[in-house]
Amino acid sequence: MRTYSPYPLLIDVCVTNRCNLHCSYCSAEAGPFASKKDEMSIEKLDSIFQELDLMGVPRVGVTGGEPFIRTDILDILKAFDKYSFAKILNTNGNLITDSIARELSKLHLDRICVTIDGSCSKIHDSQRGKGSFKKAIEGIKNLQRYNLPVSTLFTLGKHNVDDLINTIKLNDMLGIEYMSVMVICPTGRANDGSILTDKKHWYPVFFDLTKRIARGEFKVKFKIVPPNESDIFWTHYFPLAFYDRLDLLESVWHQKVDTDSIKKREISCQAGVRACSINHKGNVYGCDLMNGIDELVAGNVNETSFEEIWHSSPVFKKLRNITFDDLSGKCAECPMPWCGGGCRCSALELDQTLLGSELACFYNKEGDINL
Amino acid sequence: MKNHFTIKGKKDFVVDKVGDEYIGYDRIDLEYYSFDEIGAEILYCISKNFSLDKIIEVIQDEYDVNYADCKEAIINFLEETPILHIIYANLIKSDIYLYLKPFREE
Repeated sequence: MRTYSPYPLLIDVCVTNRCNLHCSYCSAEAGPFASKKDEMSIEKLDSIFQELDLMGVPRVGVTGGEPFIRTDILDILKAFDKYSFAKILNTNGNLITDSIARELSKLHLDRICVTIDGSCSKIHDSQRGKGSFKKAIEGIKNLQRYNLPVSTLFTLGKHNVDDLINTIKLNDMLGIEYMSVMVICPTGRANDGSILTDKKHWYPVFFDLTKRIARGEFKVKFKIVPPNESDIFWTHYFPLAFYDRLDLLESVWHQKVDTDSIKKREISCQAGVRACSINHKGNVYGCDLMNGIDELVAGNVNETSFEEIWHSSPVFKKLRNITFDDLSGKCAECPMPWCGGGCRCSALELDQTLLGSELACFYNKEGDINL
Repeated sequence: MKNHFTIKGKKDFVVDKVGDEYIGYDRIDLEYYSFDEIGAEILYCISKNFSLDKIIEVIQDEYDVNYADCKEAIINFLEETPILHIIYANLIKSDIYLYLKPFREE
């Protein structure tokens, strides 16, 4: 069994599945008509925050749906504020008015992360809804007016891959300090994989981006987060291998291919190992991308303590027990020694089994990659 | 009205007419900046979230300048203004940012 952390190193707590937007790729399948039935009360959420704090969890994110759709969200955040873990708030920013920003300024949030999926309304609104771009920008401005630690999230898919560099420039112009690029995982409403970007678009964009970073073109600190968590990301490796510029993998992205390593390949998915998620009903999952997949519910905090679920859940034991030899399909054939088999949730959705292959990965046995 | 106005940007940027010039205080970099009559007119329009075409119309009402020259002068002013970082979100709201570097098509 893979060694798992005595407490999750990061955990997302979803306070609602309701959302004012209806994004086409939402992993939680949130939207305006999501039910508020069974949402956890402030008291329940507070008890969860307390338990996580006592366990020593270093980082907790409050997420949704859209947290600000709850009328009691400021009270929830006041409860959240009492604890010592790093506090992250994820939001689409559309509902953050000046007065809400003022209230947030009385708290001690470490990061308020607003999703900006493009450099203009046309791109951003195409998947997130008309008018949402300018409202998100207004929300960011309101947060900045109170010196709040606002960062942005760019959810990378085929709809916005060609606008990534412009969006980084936009972040610079807005004075954003941190930007995360999260590669869409084929779960929730994106589970057919049709919105994922392909190598034809990603390779030139990523190569251009890498060269620009090497030239020091951007001020914003940003990272690209594919849902695979190996030491090396396939989103980074394959384009640079294609252009025969793997030297940039280490010099720009600080990812080193250790060819001397003889260590046994281990599954890299951190769901239930270091990461965890609790949905709005109290269901516990290995990560937020698993939200809504019944067979991956590890337990429910309304019935069992989080700590007991973390240490004893059969679902978590199953995730921790997966070995590389268990995998089937192209992951089993892939010779890349640095890869840990990608996202297990993606394998479940696209390959119909948790032990299947990460079909979103660009590896192709016959393909274009100079190995 | 133009003698005293506020752009509600990343910080409130208050502009006051002092003698023949307009003075604004940058509460982020803690600096004073002065603007001439036309600069103040442009900033006043931005405080009202006017579109670029609307600002051109306002300027043309007062000055004998053609559309293209007026547009270019406004864009140049905005690209070079030291308070761009304060008012950038306002320029997104009015879509003016699309006419400025790095987003304008050359």
